[in-house]
Amino acid sequence: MKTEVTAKLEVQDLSLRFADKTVLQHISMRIPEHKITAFIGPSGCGKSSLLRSFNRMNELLEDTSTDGRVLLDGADIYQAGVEVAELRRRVGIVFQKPNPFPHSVYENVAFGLRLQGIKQPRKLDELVESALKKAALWDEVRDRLHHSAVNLSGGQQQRLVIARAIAIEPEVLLLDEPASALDPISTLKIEELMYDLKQHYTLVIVTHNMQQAARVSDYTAFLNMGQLVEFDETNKMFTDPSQRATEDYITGRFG
Amino acid sequence: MNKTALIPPIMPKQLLRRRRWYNRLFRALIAVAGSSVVLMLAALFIYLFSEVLPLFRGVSGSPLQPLAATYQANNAELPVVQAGWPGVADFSASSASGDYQLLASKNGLACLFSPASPAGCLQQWSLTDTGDTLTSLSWLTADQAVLAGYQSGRLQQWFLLADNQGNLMLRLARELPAQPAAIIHIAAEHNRRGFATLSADGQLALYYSATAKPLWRYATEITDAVDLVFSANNQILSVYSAEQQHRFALDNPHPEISWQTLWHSVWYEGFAGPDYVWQTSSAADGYQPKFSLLPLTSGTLKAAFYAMLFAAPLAIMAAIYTACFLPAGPRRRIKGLIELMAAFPTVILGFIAAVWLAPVIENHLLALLLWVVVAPLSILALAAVWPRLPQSWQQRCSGGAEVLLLMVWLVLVSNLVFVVAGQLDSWLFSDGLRLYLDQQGIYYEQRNALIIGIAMGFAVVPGIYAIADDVLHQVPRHLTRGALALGATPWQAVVRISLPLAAPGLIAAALVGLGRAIGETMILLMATGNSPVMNFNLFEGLRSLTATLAMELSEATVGSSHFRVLFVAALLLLLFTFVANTAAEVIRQRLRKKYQRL
Amino acid sequence: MLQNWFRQGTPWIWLNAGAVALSLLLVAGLLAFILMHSLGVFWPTDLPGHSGSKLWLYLQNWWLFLSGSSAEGGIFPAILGTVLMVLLMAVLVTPLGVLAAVYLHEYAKDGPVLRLIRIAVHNLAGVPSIVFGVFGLGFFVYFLGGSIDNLFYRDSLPTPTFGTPGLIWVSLTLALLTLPVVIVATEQGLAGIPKNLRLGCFALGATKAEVIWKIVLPQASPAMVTALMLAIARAAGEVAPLIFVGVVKSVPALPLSSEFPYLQLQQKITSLGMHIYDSGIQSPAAQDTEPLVFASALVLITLIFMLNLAAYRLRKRLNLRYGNRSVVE
Repeated sequence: MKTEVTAKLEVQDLSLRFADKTVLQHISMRIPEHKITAFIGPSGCGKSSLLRSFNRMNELLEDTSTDGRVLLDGADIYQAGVEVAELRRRVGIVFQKPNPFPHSVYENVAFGLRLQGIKQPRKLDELVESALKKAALWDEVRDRLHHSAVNLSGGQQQRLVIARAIAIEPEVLLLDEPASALDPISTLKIEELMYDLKQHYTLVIVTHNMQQAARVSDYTAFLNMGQLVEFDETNKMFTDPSQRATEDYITGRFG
Repeated sequence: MNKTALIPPIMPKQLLRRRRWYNRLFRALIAVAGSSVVLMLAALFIYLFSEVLPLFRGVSGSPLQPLAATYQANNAELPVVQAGWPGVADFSASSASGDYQLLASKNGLACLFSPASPAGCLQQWSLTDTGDTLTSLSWLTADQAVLAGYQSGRLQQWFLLADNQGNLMLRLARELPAQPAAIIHIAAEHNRRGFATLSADGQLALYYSATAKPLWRYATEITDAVDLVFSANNQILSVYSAEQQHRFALDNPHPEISWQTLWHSVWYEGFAGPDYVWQTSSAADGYQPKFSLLPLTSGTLKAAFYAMLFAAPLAIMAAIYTACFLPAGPRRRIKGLIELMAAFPTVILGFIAAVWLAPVIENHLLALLLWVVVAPLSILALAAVWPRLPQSWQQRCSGGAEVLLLMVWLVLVSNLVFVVAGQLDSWLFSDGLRLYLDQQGIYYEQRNALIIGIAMGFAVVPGIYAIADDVLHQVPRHLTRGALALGATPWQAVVRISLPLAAPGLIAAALVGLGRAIGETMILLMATGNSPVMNFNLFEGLRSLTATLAMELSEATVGSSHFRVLFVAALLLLLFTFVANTAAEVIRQRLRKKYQRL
Repeated sequence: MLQNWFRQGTPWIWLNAGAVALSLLLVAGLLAFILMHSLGVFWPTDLPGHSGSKLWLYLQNWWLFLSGSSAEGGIFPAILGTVLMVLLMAVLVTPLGVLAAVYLHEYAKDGPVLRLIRIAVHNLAGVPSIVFGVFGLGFFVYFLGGSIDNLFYRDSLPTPTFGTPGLIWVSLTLALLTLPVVIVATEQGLAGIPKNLRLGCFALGATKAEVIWKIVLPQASPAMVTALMLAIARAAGEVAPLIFVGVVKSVPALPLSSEFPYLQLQQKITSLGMHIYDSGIQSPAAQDTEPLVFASALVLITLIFMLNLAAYRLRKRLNLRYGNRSVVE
């Protein structure tokens, strides 16, 4: 990896276990700032778990234990005394299946803002609008801001969830197969959105869609069986992978 | 999009701290609420124990400063020796009411007579046949018993009982454990059946009439005692010597209660022999309360047994059908309806059982007995005929509708049984089965265990059914499907796969039902005779722990022996159900794990 | 052939279906029995006149029965007492039951502690109600009430104010009794809320308390209402434990007053269940009052069934709402 990119996140010898099953083994990598990094790999290779370990979401699941360090701007997020709520504000996450709260569109976006103590209606309006605009959803929902978010289409819901996540100005945005449950048009919209977002945020995306990884990401990591097989610039990965396994996977020979 | 145009929502430190505090506070609050459940259960146990414990605390006594006092001898004239009695009146004991007088000579010759009609002895006999020397004699409170102490240290209790002809006489009820020295004084407590003895070697002993073992012993140096007296509240025992009054403060609040009086058969005054008796109140003054928990415990178990006999098979069979043979829709509907049974308040069930069911069953006993046999047979008959009916009928009655058909069928059969039984009754037994039973010496009480079995069974069914249905339904589908794929019939799949797997769960269901039956109150209170008898006769009544509590606790004086014994009953109920429910829950937790592994 | 028939199992299945049919018959029979004995009670058979005026009279009789005082043969004090005791109970039991359910479902980690608490919940549900009554009398009335009297009502001693059975102790005892009902039903509701929603909330940087306050509890509110209705239905029919703690067969005055605090917490009350027990079995003129007891039973059962039905409906709607449950990976 070239040295001129600053690393937003640095993973050092990270291992993760669910109950008695090892999910990640000794992962080390540096996620560059203001870039899109994609994690690819076969199902169950641990790419989602790795993503979730960046804002400590794994510990909300039963029986997990983490070893190693993850540095955000040089500070270990697994250190004792780290405020997890604040960490998650800085490192947002969007899941595979859209999960809007059963509230109105407006309230969904304002939810995180209210948690941050923002109460003035004017400021809230302003921030909600800007977040929805950034998520390229504003034009579609401006007339039904106060209707239930559950009635939006799948693609709209997912963009709403992204808007909700970026409303609180995270520094890193983690996307866990954000488009896999969506139709092609919605997928395209989400991909365009990611492209816009990378100017402000560091994006990490998990995908099992090779074309998507090739299209949107700057860097790609290939994981297999809980191990990091290869991590490099996307162009290099897809044209000239250094590992045999990577090549096999990318060309569809397994996985 | 210009990032600087927005106010970056970075939280102020203060807000962060406040949120953190709220979070911790909330967690603490929740944890307290969660553990409060355990605390409450613990509080129940601890509180009941704390009320029960004083019953079993030993008696304590301590000597007080002796007082100087000249003893005023009770110079009552010795009564005239009754005509025809050969003895010498060395001892004379008059009962408190003055109705009876007992004379005895040192060699044990005794005469019981009534001063009101001094026409000779009512009873003339020898207190001892071993040549022992009588050294003391006293009546107990309420004139029902006499105590006799001997030179050898022996101590006897005699009860005043009526013989077959109705003549009153004293009978030896129990021989208390002998003391090392002669018993020279006996004092009876006031208002209750305790007494104290003083031996020649200065040993004091405190007894209760229903228990043989002394409650308290104390070695004194007094050898010149002339009398032994209890204070009016029984808290001070005085030994008089010629110049002194030696006093002993006693703390003996519950002499009536011991392990023995609660659980063993005890020979009480007025009874022909040892028995298990629960009798806590009477109009008569100086009444001796009798606290045997055995009739109540057996009553509770009897009621629970008959209720389970009815409810457990019914509920489990119903659960097998709904869980294993019904599609989701009808299953949910039928489940809801059966669980509706639990919504009937037991006070209503008890009321109907008492005022309607009891007389109806008394009059139609034969019909009920007949029905128990005929109803299952009639269902089998329907099952046999069913495949021979036209296809279109069969199709119409599938997916839950056969239950409706069976309901109609059962109503028809039941009506038929009642009509036939009515005819049979008058044909077989000239005056009906009920009177026939009487003639055969089988006692039939209108409010009996049969009624309880049905009414309480009704109350218990939904609880058992709900759990049984759940555990059967949760058996992983792929297992039964596998069996079906191998050519088993649906029933074989259930018997070979589901039932063995779910068997612990069914036991848990039965345990929960048992716990419910043991703890049920209103049905038992209203529809049993509430007579504390001990038998397992289906046609006789009973009295349960719960009904006893309901009837007696409000009337018992706080802190009295009666009050505390009722707490023993409550503790007993709590323990019964604790064991049943804990076992059931542990079984269910294990079963859930097992299902997850499969 | 017969042996083969039995081995295949058809007759056994039919017998099991028979058990279902018998259970349903018992429920239906009991309901029909009560209806038959209670609906006709107030029908003016011996009066002349056309059926319209008879119906009017019939309804009037019902009204008099429902609104009359005990002296007039009515059951208004019993209805009021029942309603008051269950409402007060609801106020007491809901917060604790909901929080305990939240603990069980959201906070406790699978392990011995959780197992212990679950055992305790099921045990508490199985404790004979009369034992709660004994506890209520000894602990609440004598101990708590006595202490309150000693602290605040010194002047009126030895006449007890709170140290004697009364409404507040009735409700407290009922709250203990129904706590497991609330916990179990609320927990069921919590289990129905998709994990996705919680994760989404955490992802926005919410603390656990915020997730529960802002997402979980609002979503679980139908379950809480269900739980409460089941608890009320259970409590409304309870008699045995309440005999000790403040429900009596007749009361001289209603526990309401026109002055603050309006509700006399220390006053004894009467309830429908008690009314049925007392006038059905205890009273010397049981034969004459029997029809009226059936009418009271109908009122009580209607109340309880309506609550159960509402709870059932709510639960069903809740299940539908989250019909497609989803959990992250």
